[in-house]
Amino acid sequence: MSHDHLADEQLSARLDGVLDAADEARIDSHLAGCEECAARLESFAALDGSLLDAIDHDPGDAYFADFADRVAARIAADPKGEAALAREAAGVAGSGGAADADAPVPVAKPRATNPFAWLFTPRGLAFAGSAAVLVAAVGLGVQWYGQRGAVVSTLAGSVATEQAAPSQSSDPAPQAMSAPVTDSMASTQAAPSAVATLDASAAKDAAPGTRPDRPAVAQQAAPGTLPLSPRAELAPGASRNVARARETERRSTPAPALAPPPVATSAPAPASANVTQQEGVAMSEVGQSIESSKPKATSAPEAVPPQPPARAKVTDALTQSLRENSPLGKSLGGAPAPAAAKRDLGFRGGRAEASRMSLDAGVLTDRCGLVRDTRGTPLAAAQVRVSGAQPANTRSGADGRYCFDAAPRVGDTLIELHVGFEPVRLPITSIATLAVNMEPIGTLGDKGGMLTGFASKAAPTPDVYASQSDVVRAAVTAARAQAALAARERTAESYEKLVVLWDDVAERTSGAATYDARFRSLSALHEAHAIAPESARADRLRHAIESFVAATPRTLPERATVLRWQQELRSR
Amino acid sequence: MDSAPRRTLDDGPDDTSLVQASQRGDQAAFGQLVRRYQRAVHRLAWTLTRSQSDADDLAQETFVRAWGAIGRFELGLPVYPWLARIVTNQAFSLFRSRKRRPETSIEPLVEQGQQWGIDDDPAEHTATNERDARLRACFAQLAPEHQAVLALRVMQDLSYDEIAHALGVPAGTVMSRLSRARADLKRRMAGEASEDAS
Repeated sequence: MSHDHLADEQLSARLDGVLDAADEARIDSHLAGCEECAARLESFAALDGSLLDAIDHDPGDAYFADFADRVAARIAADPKGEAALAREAAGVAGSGGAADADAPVPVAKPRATNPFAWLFTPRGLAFAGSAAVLVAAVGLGVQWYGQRGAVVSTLAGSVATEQAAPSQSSDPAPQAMSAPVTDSMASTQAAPSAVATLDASAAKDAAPGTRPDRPAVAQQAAPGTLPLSPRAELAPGASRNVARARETERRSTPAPALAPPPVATSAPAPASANVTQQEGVAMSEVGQSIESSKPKATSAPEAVPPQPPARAKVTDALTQSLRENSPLGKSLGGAPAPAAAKRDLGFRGGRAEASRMSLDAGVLTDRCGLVRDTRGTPLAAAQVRVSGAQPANTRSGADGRYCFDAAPRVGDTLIELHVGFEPVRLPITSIATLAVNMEPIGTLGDKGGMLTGFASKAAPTPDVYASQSDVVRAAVTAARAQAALAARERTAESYEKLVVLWDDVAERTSGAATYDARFRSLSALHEAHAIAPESARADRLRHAIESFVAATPRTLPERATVLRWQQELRSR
Repeated sequence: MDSAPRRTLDDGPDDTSLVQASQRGDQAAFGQLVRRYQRAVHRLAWTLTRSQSDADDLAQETFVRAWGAIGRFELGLPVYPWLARIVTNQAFSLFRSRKRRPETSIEPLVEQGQQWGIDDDPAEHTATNERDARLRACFAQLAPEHQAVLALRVMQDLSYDEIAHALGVPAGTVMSRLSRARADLKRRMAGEASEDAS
């Protein structure tokens, strides 16, 4: 690369629109006069766009409908959630060495040793969904029943009795780079201490020998003694400490620690004997229910405390109370309350998330537009890019509106991005209507039954694009509109626009659809050339014909036409 | 760059209120956060692992850890980069623990459908487009850090500042890393890729 040309970094930054005005102006003026750099920029932009197409995946609404449930169940049942904190914090410390210490503990591995893991495997889910819900349900019941007993951690704790050993050994605190000794002590010793506590509260006769109580350690690791930086997650060393302190804190104090990680001050949970008793009951109930429903428990059997009497009754009461009172039951799973479900999009009820983004038809006037979802709510902070000769980049404001410095030009592609929404690509045409028929993220179409209103096959169109995504079909619609316009105007320019639009369609499709789009693109170029036969256009046409012939099967009917054009072109 | 929420739209309270409530132990609020960011988190996890089972595990684990760490979350900061950080760190750990980069090809989608009980159309997702397949293959060959920065920028539309936050590197590093990632990917797509770029 010559020193005259722009560096990759400049192009990359220009593409992302992060340069200040002066730099941007300088680079733009270079781009205006340097085809090579402009082409490189365009290739970066194209690569970005292709990545979006090629590497994107959404498992669908069915997957997400109970995702939160599964997370809840996992939090409830998986001690790793706590044990892993230290690891997470270490990992969070950055991409540097700290993360290496993280390596020996693969994320997926703990499943193997977790007797409850099967609950969360895809296959297990369908099978054991009810069991998982029961875990959450009982936990929730405990919370309500025990008056702020703080459940999830309770359950985590109770399960931790089984898990303490494995999780401890799999969380070896090796990342000791800067961690103080007390820290690692706390990390390795607090777990047994907590286990003992929980066992004690759960059942008097819980396996004694293996779990020495270590109040001293717990004290040592009490939250106050370690730095609780509010930005802990940004500070490598500190975050580890905090994580461990948190972990220790939670494990070493029965009731208050049960309230999540947080600053449990607002949820004072006096560990009254009564509450503890209830928790013990509930925990054993959970243990029992899981024990009885899972195929094989690989964990230490003594972790499940003996069942106290009147278990079933308590469970009933808990379940009942959950239905009526638990906020989590409404939001995370369990028994959905209509009122909550109404607000909670994407909730188990099969409601589609409002994950569609669209341009407001006709609002894109000149250089400004509006991004909103299909419910009409403006979307703030959507990124809007113009991909074309003059790439531009902006974001929608709080009202969903955005403006470019200059109007996108016909032939450019407008790209809208917003996390959680399917990207929108919209070829700019001269036609007034900019309505985009958006594909909701992860639609299952007709079969999924989740998104009947948006089902992509709802509108049968007997053409090669019928089975394409809505995005593609929107592009096709735009191209057809432009074709109609070009047929009226009969100008080379309008046919050139048509070329771009069909090329865009061709890029997004494969098989018959892409052949059709390519042929239409070629036809448009041929038409443009017929109207205004310039030598540059003739060259492009020649080249386009060659690549069409090379890329399409011999059996394609349109090939005969194209070959005829090729002959004509040669004879001129 | 702003720090607006990257989330599924809902009518709920703003992130800060939800985080605050979660910090007080309000599981319902956390549940709302989960639903708000589940797609973005899963999408990132999938981009980095290109495996449904890994993405599923990572995504869930991310929220489990987020719940565990929510007390340390500084109110007012954007939530998503924080979640993205948890995702990427897990993904990096996963890569390293397997001593290899994530699989190039995605899992057979038919199997996935069965696995999830999703009666999905495999053709819709499967790489029918050769170029896409090639791009995926090239992307998979990139260094994990390059994959991550591209995923966050291109797929997730995070600002440089947010990426910096998510990756725990200075914003300047984001800029250079992104350009290297793009250049590397472009080179690989052009067939000039060397195997040693990591």
